Amino acid sequence: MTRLFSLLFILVSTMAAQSPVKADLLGLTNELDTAIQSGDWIKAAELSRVLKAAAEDVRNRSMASAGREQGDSILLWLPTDTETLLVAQQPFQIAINDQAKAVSAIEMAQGFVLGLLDAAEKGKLSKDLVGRTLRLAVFGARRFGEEPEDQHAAEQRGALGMIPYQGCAIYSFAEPLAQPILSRPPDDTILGHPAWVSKGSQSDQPDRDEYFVSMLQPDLMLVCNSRAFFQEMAARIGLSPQQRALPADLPEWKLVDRSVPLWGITHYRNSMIVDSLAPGRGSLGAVGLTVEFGLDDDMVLARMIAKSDPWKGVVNSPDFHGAARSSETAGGIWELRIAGKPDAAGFAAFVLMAELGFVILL
Amino acid sequence: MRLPWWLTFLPACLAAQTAVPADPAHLLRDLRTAIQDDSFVTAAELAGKLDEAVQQRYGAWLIRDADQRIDEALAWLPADTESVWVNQQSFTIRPEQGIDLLWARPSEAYSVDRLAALDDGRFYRALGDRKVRLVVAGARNIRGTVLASVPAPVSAQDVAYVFFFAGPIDLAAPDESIQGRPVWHAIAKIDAGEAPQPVNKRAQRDDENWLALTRPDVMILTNRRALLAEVLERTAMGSKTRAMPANLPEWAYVDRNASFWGLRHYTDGSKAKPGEPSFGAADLPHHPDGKAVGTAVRFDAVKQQLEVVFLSPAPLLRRKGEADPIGHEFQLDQPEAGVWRLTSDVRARGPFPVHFALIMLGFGMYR
Repeated sequence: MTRLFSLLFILVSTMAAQSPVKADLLGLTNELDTAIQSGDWIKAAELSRVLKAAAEDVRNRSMASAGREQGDSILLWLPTDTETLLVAQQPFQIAINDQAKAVSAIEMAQGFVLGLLDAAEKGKLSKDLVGRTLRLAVFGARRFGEEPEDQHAAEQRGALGMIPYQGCAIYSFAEPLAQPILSRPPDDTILGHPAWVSKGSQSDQPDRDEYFVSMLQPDLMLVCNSRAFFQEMAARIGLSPQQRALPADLPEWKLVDRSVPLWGITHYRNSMIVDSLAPGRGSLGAVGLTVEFGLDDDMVLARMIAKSDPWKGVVNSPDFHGAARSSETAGGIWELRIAGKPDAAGFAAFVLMAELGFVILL
Repeated sequence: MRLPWWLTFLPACLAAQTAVPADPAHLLRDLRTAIQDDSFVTAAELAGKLDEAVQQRYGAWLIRDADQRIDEALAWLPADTESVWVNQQSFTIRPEQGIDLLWARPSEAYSVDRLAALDDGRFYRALGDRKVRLVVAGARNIRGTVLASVPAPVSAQDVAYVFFFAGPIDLAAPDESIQGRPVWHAIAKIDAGEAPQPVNKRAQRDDENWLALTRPDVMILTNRRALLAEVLERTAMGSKTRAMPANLPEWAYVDRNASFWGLRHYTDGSKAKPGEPSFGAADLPHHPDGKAVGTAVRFDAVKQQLEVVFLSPAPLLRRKGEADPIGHEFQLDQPEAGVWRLTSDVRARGPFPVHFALIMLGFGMYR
């Protein structure tokens, strides 16, 4: 184990110093080859784990700055009344769902960011993209809990799963996708963007929503669950609008570290939803929330601006297995810190995504 | 086992790909090319596939001597053992993950649930990060339980587990010695097994267990001191008999290459008696009929395919709709007279069919 960490440390240190990365990676492949050839599978298993982590780290570093710049420009495309923004800026691969594997909190959060892609085209599109690497994913949403366009509240009653919302996600792939992405011709053209349209749902109510998929560039995919949101985004692409979603003077921006692998921010328009999420909250006076996933040791951090402690009824939940701690870090800023613990990871993502608006009804 | 309820409602999570891994040599060659070409996205993807292939080879290497080890364990278990299962998919003990997170890996959950419960996890924590190559479990005196649930409580009176580790293990100073082997005594708080009462918290009781090392890398866990002494005597002195002798008819339906397999031969005491409801038709998984012979189980943990063979000339009791677990969770056929075959795609169905199969083998969740 010590050897494993030493190798990784040397590798990361040399990369940080901009020393030859290729030589280090190639050196590891040689060591692994020797272990395999000699039938030393204990050593080979250890080395291949190190090599995998090192290769992912090199990839992430090579893509980091471009991804951040792209994220800033996509923020300008979002409608001005966007309430929640999620940005996954550490590259990751789209993979098939394997429930037998314990997943980390950041992997759970990445799963939420892929929610629209998974729901569109009845899941066929995301299945076709398994193995592809995403450089960046940006997910904007609004109107949580409001009924979808052209539907009546009565149809919503009793639906379990994700509550209704309007949203769009931009998926930036590390490499261009083979065109066309779907075998049939686009179903529509919206403001000049060819779009594939399908019915689907993120709840147990079949075909609740309409999904729109469009390729803005060969490596840039737009997926929305609302025609209106799609149109508003499409109209803003390439422009430098005077007003933007979640403006820079919102107090929440001071609370989030935008360099972390996955972060999110919300500025509440409908604080009644957040009031109802945990027992004993009463009227929180919640203004906004920031979340950070993928911190050291898979720790998760959330900060809410509110009049009273929003985490009081949540922090001692048995589903956190003692991993959660809360504190008031400044006047009216309430922090929830969830230590990286495998049996708390899923619940951390579930709770914080709900606080961001993505409430799953059980 | 308590299901982490929120897990099933989360959006699709990311996880390892489960396609058949390619040859490591080819992947290494392609990976080198990608690195030399500065194609770091491709390199990361290839390194992931390479790791998957290498880990699979490592897993196969860990059980290279599985046949001999399993035969050894069968010789250690008493001749009156009624049921045996083998989990030969290696795994690492991860106490920090908690037993609840194993709900989607039932063969691993059944391998460690008892160990994890001992002395509030003291032994499980001490064995953290240790690689288990394979587990062989045996049971005797299997009787019905009050609670006919799926999963069910353990229905065997006597159980013994043999853990083969990848290397020597260290435990604290032993409590005693039997046959010259170090032995530890441990208590687990488990469900008392009474019928559930509304509102009231389920009653618990202390359950005694014993651990022993027969070799530095082989650990026995059992719930009877007398059974442990019997097993240790057989390990030390050898034996002319073995558990589950080769002439049992169930062996014809066992696939010893499966990652998880098991067989049970019903005793008169475990079959329905005349006048009991299931005497003329087996009410699976809990109640074999009066003429039931045995059961064989195989589970491919990679493909998540389960097959249960139930040997009996009697018909199966079927219920209607959702109340019929056989119709709901399995494909049923009868390849020959007296042989009932139940197959299930666990990836699609979830772990319920595996719990069903373990009940047929006389095992349950240790809670």
